[in-house]
Amino acid sequence: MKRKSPLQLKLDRRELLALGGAAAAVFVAPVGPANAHRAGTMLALADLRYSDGLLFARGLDRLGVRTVPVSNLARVWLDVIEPRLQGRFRLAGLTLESDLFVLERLAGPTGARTRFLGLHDWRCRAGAAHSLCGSIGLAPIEAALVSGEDRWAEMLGAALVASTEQSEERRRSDVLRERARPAADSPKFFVSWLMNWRS
Amino acid sequence: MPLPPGLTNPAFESACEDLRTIVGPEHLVTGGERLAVYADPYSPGLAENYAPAGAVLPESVDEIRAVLGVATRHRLPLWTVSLGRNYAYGGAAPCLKGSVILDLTRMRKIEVDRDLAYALVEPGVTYLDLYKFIQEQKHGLWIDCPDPGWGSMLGNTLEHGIGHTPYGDHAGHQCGMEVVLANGEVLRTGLGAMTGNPAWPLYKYAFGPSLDGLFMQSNFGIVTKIGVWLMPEPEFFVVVEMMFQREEDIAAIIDTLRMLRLDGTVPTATIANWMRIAAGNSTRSEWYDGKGPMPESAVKELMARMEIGYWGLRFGLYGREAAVNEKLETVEKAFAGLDAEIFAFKFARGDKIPPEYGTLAGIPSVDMMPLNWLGGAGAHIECPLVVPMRGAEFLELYRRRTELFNEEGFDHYCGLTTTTPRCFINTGSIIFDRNDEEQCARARALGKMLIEDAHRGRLAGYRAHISEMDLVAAQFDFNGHSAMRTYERLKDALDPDGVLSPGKQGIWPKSLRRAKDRETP
Repeated sequence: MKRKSPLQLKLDRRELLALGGAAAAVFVAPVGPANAHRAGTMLALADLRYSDGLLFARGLDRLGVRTVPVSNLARVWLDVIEPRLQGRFRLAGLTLESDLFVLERLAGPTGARTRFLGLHDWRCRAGAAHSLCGSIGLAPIEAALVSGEDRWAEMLGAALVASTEQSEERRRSDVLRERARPAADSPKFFVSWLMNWRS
Repeated sequence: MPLPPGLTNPAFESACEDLRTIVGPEHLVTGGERLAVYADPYSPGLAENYAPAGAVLPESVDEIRAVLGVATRHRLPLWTVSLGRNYAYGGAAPCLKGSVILDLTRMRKIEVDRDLAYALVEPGVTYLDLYKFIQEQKHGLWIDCPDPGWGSMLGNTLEHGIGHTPYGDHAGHQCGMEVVLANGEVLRTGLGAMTGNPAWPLYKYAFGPSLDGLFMQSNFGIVTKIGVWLMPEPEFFVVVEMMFQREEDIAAIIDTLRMLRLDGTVPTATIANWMRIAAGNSTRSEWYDGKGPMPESAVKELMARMEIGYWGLRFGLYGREAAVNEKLETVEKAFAGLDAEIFAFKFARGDKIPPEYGTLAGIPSVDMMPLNWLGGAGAHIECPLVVPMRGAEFLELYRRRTELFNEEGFDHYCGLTTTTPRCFINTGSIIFDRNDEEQCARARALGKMLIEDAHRGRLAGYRAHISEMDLVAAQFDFNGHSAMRTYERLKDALDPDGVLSPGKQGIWPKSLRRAKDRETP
């Protein structure tokens, strides 16, 4: 009788990738005092099964943002997010859509609001379609997606750290990258998001 | 925002004013973002047809009784939800547009008896809440939770929800119930009918008829508390996983498993087809980019690259170490002739259970990975069938349902869970992108086709989306729908003004019955 299933091996491989040594060199925005403060009050979730998720996490890590793997969301909610609900903080993520769906419903009753949502779509098309919506400034995020090429996820993370709330009004923007190819292990549809808590 | 049927704007406003005085202004919702959360997030393009007029959030049985007084006086239809996370079946949304949601989220009391291994919970208690409570108190008890485990324990139990441990039949492990009737009377079932009887949450039966079942999947009363039996943490626990390579293997898998279920070797068990396994760990785009269902060649390639079978079988074995090992040997012998890959993962009491096996140990998960299968805003609807554990019959049903899924352009997601030893609950999730109108239309069409196909085979769903409740209810046709006539007599007797959850499970109050009959196919 075998003692380890193929599915478990697959998870182990991805955990290994997530925890392993140096991956690609990371280019991120310089950490100024304002960004350092913003990074300190931010917590991020990333799907480390995918290389884009890893790049997102590593970029944020370099900026001093604590990044938590989203692999066991129930535990993340109970052990990491719930204990912080008394303070003011921002929660950002690059995940699959179902994780955001769950988080919005767990966090909604505690006063959380999603201030930014990005849909990043490579399905059935030649390039990437990024659809952005939110009450934060979208221009830095657009710039990150345009200049990020295959490092779009790490640039996006840096842009989210630096982002500021502009008004309650939600703005929309679409960024099409016709020649952008998905990473080899991409699920071809990610969501990026930013939540905050207001009293 | 819709109004309750038959009410003018001023009449509704007057009812709202009365409700505000009971629950306080902050606990009456009549619009905006706070009302939007009661819409069905997984609706396949039908959310407008099931929009509520408002929501009222009482905190106690006394407040519920007062709310019922207002509802009766104003003829205000109430749609009761514990937390409203009954996703795939409508969430918090009502069958009758313009109903006011009676949201019991604020009722969150938990009592646990460690010695007799049970909990008494109110509607707002989630599986996560009770799990955390038991862990903090170090009670040495396990809960049983569904997938995902973020919903209300009471709500899931009333809906006949299922889990993965030996206590996976949630209604079967419920004991003791407190109910508020439409006239405001408070009732306790079973031995709870005797004031102070300590065996209320311990023994299901009492002196006289059993009433509990009447308040499950029904609209005869508002359940405000239930007793739930809990499982003592076992000394030893083994997760058994098996993989089988061919579609037709399912017949032998079921026939072999049936014997092990009936003789008590195996408790609750779950079988998943290739898509359920793949969708739990990946997205479709990682394997195939074409439109329509994945062709056989792509499925074979997926299976080879993921190193999975066409079918996977998973269950836990629980108890003393020697007894568990003996059961494991029995299982291995029983499946020896089936060309199965068998994996076993052993855990002693206190060992850390990996998240992928959490639900087999009563650890709630909120993972909804399969909904990402097609990308976009993943959603699902379904009408899980109750199917006998006969292998050849199921293979025939599976192939027929695969054709229906494929005809509508979907891959067939199939799961079989046996929480009782003689039949399966056959889930067939229709996974779609809720922001894609064309996919929503196909999901609606497939949902109806699957229900009608099941009926032709004399099988029925045990749950259904709010948009399909009348269709399923109409299929229970023995002796000219005598069961529904009985439900309606009970409805008329217990809720003569028809204020409680009109249309729930196809049961409509007298005032709305004729309109409903006209629409029933």
